[in-house]
This record gives sequence, structure tokens and C-alpha cells, in this order.
Amino acid sequence: MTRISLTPIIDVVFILLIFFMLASNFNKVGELNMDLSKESSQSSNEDIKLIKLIVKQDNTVMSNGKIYDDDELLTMLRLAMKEAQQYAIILTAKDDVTYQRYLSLMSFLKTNKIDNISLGIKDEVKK
Amino acid sequence: MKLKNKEKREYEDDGLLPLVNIIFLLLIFFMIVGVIEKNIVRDNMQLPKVELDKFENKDITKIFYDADKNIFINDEIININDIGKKIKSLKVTDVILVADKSILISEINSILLELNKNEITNIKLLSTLNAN
Repeated sequence: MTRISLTPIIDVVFILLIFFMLASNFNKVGELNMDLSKESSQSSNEDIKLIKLIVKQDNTVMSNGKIYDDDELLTMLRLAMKEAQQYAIILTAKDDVTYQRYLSLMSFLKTNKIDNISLGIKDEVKK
Repeated sequence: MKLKNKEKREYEDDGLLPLVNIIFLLLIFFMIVGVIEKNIVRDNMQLPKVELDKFENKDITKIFYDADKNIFINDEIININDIGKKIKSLKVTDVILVADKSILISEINSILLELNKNEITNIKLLSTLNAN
């Protein structure tokens, strides 16, 4: 009975293995959709309550001169959302805030079902 | 005349069977679990680690902002003052922003301002779902 030599099979399989090891990508990427057109339309609508939040790097958020941590912020926002029929949250940040901190807060708010968040884009030209 | 007995061939490959098994397993693992896709993140860039909805890579204009403060639109390096002009020439309304986690939000703000001025209505912000 003729037996097949395994050496060529091992060669081919090794090559395929190396190909897939090099070509495969395990990075999982997440996305967050932001609608820039909302911000300008909301600020001109007088019926909408605007809630302005200033993100700080030390894991706190400032609003109307008061400082909140994450839990206090949630409580404050839920209360504000109940009182207003329509609301919009505008998120701005101090200059030393990193993108990581900003995105973490946005994700935290969205996870807690606080939507209608707009990016507070500062127009430095207007200052 | 005596016929010589055919020499029994010794099959030396029998010891390689466990190796072949393992290699096949690894191959099947990488074929099923790995995804062959161009890595969206450039070199010298670490996305912020935030749990978000899974990203579906579509053919949308991408703006990269790496840790060295270089800005790229798709693969072309660009000056921050020229972003508006480039975006206008591309005639797009949707953009993906891929920025390093250490970039200050004030720097990203300048890009967002340019995008807002040039009729960009929708921006996707990307993060990594893996531990770095």
C-alpha cells in the first residue's frame, strides 16, 4: 500500500498558517455617531432647554457653576430631563481634557440612556 | 535467482502526526476567528478605550489625528488650515474621525470647527474595544 508522505502537507499548512497569522486582524473598533447639524438648530429653538456641561479631566463635570461626579451628574440630568419637555445637552470641555476622557463621558451618558447630546464646538473666531 | 525482498520502507513521518494536528487546529482557529481586513488605525496611534457600538467599516472619508499631531485625510498628510479646502473638494457630508487617545479636545475642536463650517453633518468617532 502506498503511503502519502506528510512533509509536503506540513509545508503547505505552515505556509497557510503563517499567512493567516500575519493577515488576521483582531482589533475590535467601536463607533459613536455624532450629528453636527443638531447643535446649530437646537440652539436657535427657544422651546428646548439647553443643558451645558463642561467636562474636566479629573473625572468631574461642571454645570451652572456646580461640580458633579458621574453619579451626581446622572441624577442631575435625569431630574432636568423630567422637568423639561424638550432638552439638549451640550458637551464642552476644559482645554486640558483628553479625547479619551471626553469620549468616555459621552459613552457613559449614552449607556445610561441620556441622548440628545451635541458636541460643543467653540468658535474661537467669535471670541 | 532469489528475488530480493523489497525493503520495508520505514515511515519516519509517523512522529509528525501530533505536530500536524496542532498546526491544523491553529490554522482553523486563525481562519475562523481572525478577520482579514486592513487595519484602520495608523502607526503611532492608540484609539481611546471606550465601549461603543461595533464599527462597520464603510467607504467614508477618514480623518486621522495621530499622537505626533499629524493630520491625514485618508492617506494624505494635511495642514490644519487646509482641512476646510480639502473637505470641500471631496464633497462629502459624512466623516470618520480617528484620533489618538492622548490628543487634547481643544485640538480636536479646531478640526470639528472646520468640518462644521464645511457642511459636514455626521461624524463617527472611533474607539477600541480591546484592552491596549
